[in-house]
Amino acid sequence: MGNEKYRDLFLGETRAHLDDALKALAAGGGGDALRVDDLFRHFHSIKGMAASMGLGAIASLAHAVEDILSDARRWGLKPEWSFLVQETADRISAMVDMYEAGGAPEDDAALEARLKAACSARAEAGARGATPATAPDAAPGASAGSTALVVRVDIDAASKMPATRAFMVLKKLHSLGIACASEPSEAELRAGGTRPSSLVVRLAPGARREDAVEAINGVPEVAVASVESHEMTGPAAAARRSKLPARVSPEILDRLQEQAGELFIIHRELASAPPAREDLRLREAVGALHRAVRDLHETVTCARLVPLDLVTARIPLRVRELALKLGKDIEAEVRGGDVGLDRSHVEKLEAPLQHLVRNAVDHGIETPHERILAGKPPRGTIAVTAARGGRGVKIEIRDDGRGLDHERIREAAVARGIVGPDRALTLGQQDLYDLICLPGFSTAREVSAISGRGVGMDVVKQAVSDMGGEMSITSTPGLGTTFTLDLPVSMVQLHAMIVGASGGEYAVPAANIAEVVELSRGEMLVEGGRPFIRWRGVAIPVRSLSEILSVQAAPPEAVFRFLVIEFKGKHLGLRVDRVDAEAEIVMRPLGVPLNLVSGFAGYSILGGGHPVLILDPIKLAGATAFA
Amino acid sequence: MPKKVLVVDDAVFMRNMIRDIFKAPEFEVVAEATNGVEAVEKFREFKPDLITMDIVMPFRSGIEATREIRKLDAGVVIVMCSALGQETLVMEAIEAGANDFIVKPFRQEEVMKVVKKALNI
Repeated sequence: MGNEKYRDLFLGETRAHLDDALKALAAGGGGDALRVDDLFRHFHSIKGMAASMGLGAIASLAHAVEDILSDARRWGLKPEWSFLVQETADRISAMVDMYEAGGAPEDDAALEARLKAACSARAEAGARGATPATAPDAAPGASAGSTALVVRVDIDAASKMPATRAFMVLKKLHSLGIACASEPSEAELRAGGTRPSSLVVRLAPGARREDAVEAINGVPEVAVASVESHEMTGPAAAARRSKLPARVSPEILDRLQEQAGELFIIHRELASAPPAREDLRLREAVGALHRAVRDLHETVTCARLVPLDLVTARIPLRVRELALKLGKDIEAEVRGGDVGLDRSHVEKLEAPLQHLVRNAVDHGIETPHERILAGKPPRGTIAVTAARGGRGVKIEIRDDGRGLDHERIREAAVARGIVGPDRALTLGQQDLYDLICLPGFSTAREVSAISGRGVGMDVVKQAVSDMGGEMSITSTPGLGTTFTLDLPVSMVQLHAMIVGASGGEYAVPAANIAEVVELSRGEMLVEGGRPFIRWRGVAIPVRSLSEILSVQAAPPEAVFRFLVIEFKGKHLGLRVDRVDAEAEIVMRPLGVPLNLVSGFAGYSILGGGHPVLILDPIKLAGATAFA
Repeated sequence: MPKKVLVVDDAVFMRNMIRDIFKAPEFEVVAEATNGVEAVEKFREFKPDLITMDIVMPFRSGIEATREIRKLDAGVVIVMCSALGQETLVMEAIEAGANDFIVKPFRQEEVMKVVKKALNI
């Protein structure tokens, strides 16, 4: 090859293999033969592709890893080897990025030498009398199987016996003679005690898609989620690969999303044109267009979803690595890695998640000695759990370490002059946790080699709020800390209120609005020079949007309109001149320099083609304005 | 013509309850059986379209009765009456030839949904 037309294919395939390899590495300690075989296959494929593309630097690294892995098949995969393989995967990943950006990756002789040294060290140890862990067999990369259909079946969450539903699907496919292997397997289902939410079945070669779909749809409480064809090497690979996102380039997905957005705007223009309101046939057509565009949006949104484990898969390995350096014993577990989020969210989540996990390893979990003294098991646990719920997806990072030290947060706040010593004493738990999210706030007495540098909690919080999400913290001294990120699945389209303030039009996300209220002038209250309104029996402070935006307010009318904005159970009345409409709007990011202005989440184009700014009312008014 | 139903359960409470559920114009409960042996006999006698079959019963279990009846008639619809915690038994029953299952406590609309789907009506 060596040919540019294979470039995209090479980039996509190599990255997929690297991801799979990292997942296999993170799958646990020990040296189970299957996992090593899997790893070998990934690096073998990468080597072959890189060599074909003339990328010698990548090919030699992959080759050196192969050598380690073929030893690992004999002697088992030692932790230090895992780290080395992981490091190499990261290095190859960087080289791939460089190649994509137009650069020419150069040989990493130092890393190669380390890989070779690790190999020979093991060979010597082996020669001194270690026994092979598994018998060597043919290279798995060489025994690539044929193409097979892999069906993913979702089981209704309301099903009382989901394992039986999965079992019924398998029975049905077996009776047609077309099921081959599944995850979970029939034996696992029969053993009882499982509640699978889905079943992945590899069909026998030659099985027809239609037959399988028809048979499966005959089983109650299940639905075919996807049918994909895959090159197979084994049932375990079948299950894993079918969960992979389709390899469509991100650029195409972005373009598709933009185009769907354009279509949405054209539809809005059409719908708001006078003839569409009068002509019945035109109105119906516009209605049909609306539904089609909405469906298209949903499809595009789904296509952009990628599983969270693209960023969570490497957490267990990273934790083991860090813990080893710090002399701690920590087990990390990741659950719900298959939960889907918009790909841009997943990318943005990587750094914050890493930071939270690193913090938990560095500051959260105690040393084994400290833990024993505190009456806890010496091994600490960090659990990263993702689940659908809340705004869309909730991600929890929980450790069973020492918990946040309220006193030290108070001391630090006073030392930095954020609050006075008297005020510090009255700060509640939640106030203290808010403090640690302030820029530059750190209670780490000394900057450690692992955390306490780079991104701080303020950056984590900012990243989460940029995604339209929220972070909350709970902590119990001695028992541990939990960070919960509540994120929308996608920010592509949102439900908003279009409001007017002094001649301008703005969109406010409906998710932020508790209620729209209209009050007469007499119902406006003033207390201590500050305006209030009564809402649901309590006095809440009010701010005027015109005032915040420093624009001329419209002359007062008889009726005052407020959006009651909710933030962490607190409220603020945001006064606007008009409430024009509710609308589904497509959010677009603001370009430089507008994106640097706090309080604006993006912009959207309304029917008629005029742009509106989408407000972030919480940032706009400031968290302290709420009560 | 209403579909003929055979109700198999060793508890009179459950039989009455299932009878009540099938008080609809599309169905007619033509017989009841209190164990697996009787179930097969009543099946031969009444040739029902639908059997609701309890799993754990004296003399002969619902699973064995299902296996026996399935040998006699490939078309009759057999719906197992199960309870939470009987999942492995339900799988066994499915393997023996049952079409579907309902889980106690029964709710009329749920039972109707399951049997109508199984009977294709």
